Amino acid sequence: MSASLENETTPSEQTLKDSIVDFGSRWSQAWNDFWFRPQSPTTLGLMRILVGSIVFYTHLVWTKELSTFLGGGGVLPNDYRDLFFGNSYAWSHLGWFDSPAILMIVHVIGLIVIAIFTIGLWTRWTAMATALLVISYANRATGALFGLDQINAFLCIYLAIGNSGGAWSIDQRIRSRRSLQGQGSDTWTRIATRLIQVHMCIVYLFAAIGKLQGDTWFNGEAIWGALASYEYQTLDMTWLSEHMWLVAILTIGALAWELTYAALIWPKLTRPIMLAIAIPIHLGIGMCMGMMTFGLIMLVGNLAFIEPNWLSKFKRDVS
Amino acid sequence: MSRRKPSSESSAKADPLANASSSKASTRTKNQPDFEWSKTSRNVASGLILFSLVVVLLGPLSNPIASPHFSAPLATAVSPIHQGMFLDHGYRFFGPDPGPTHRLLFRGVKTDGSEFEGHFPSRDHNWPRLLYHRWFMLSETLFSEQVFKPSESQFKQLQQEYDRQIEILRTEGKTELLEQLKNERELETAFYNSSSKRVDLLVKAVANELKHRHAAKSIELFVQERKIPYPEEVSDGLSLDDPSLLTTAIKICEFDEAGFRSSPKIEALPDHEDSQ
Repeated sequence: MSASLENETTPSEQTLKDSIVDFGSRWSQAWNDFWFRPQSPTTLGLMRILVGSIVFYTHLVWTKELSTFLGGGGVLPNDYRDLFFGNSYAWSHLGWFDSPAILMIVHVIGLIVIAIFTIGLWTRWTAMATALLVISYANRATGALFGLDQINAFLCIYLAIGNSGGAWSIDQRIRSRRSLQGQGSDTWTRIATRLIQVHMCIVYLFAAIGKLQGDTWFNGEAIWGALASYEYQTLDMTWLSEHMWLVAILTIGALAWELTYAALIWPKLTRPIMLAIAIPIHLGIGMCMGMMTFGLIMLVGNLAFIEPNWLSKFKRDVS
Repeated sequence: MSRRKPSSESSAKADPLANASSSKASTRTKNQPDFEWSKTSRNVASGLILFSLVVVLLGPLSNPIASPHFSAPLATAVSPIHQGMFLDHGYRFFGPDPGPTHRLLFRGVKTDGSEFEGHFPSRDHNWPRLLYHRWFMLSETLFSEQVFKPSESQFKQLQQEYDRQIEILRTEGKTELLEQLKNERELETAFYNSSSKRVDLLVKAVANELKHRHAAKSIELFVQERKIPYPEEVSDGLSLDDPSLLTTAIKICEFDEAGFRSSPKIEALPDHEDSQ
């Protein structure tokens, strides 16, 4: 009698148990929907073209001073890199070639691979090769890198994970011509898109956290500090010295945007607003501070938040 | 990943975070599968996704500052992935404050006896803009490497202190502490040698490249900081390239027939009031 009483649960205990089970089930469903619901490759396909174009340009520019920066006898010696990292994990194939001529041949082959990836031919393979190339160049050029290289690398990695050749690509055209069924939604594309979205949130969150440690982001002068830096300047914005109230609004606005991005980019109500604000911020950095490639790659990263069906509709309307 | 057979797993409770495709889940027919992958595949993938997110998060959590009791050991554990995939970044763009910039100045004597001088980054010589930015980042690296270069005098003082402590411990017969201190001294020495060598390698490579470009028999390199002007100064007519914003150039090396000689660590930056 007493044993049966012990095994019985009271109504309140049963309710709590049900609530916990229900909570776990809802979270499990939400997690699965978030990461594993198949997604159309339309957005990732467009991102492939844009990321590929920027990555191609980034590497094309190295050509002019290839041996100076990436050659064994240049300004960034291999030994410097080895001592900088203190291990061999920061690999680079460029360190294998001493001859400037061979280095140039390897570089041109790399550019061709990136170009093929950009147009979406043999995308599964060229996407992986492009990601490896971007990492290899970045690891070799330690000492001459900036944010562009960091964003280029992780976007290429994720584009190699997802089916970035499933749309807006030669691969897709070949499949259509052969009357093969076009590739529809798939899980890898969903995972890759989510990884880009989450990584972008991490980038903005820590960019904001870094700024919170500074004084000028609070006294409203940080944007002035960026615009009045001679080495960065490409567009003369010194007229803002007469309108520091505007500088203060821009400074605190940019900080608030970065700080809230990771939260407000997800709800459908605030997402268009956050994406709209990203455009002037990144184009502003690009035009005023001579970092157009960096500004553009950040905007391309934001594209991951554009719904594939919205892009498909846009594509249909255009055609 | 194995594909799951069509099932009727409910999608009615679609997460609001999910894309529009999931919000339309309710319109799917019952025969259409919600997920391509089996539950086992999704569980395995979930573990991998969580691990990859931890790896990504450990980048900014350990750069530029890490907790020696938490993020630093974790970041060390995943450093092969971080470095192998170029993911070890802090993402502190323009933080904590947009600061002064740095350029590298050089001057020397060519083999024909004529003198030359220049600097980088240079808007006139470094084109396109992305290449200018590479030279700019190189000048920033040269400056920061020179500033954080270990001081020889401090290193010698530290070694003397280690020797003194080691002698005391030896006299007292504390062998365990003695070994610990000896290891620490070895690590300090290795770090000092590696850091000094690294900075010298970079500076020498840059000097060598410039020497070669200008067909020079001797060259000297300097780093120089440019301050950001106050808005009031600009309103009063000061231009961003005004020489008063530049600090005194600090010599970091010379390279001539006698060989390469690096300058000692920059102990303190000159104030811009002292500028030329």
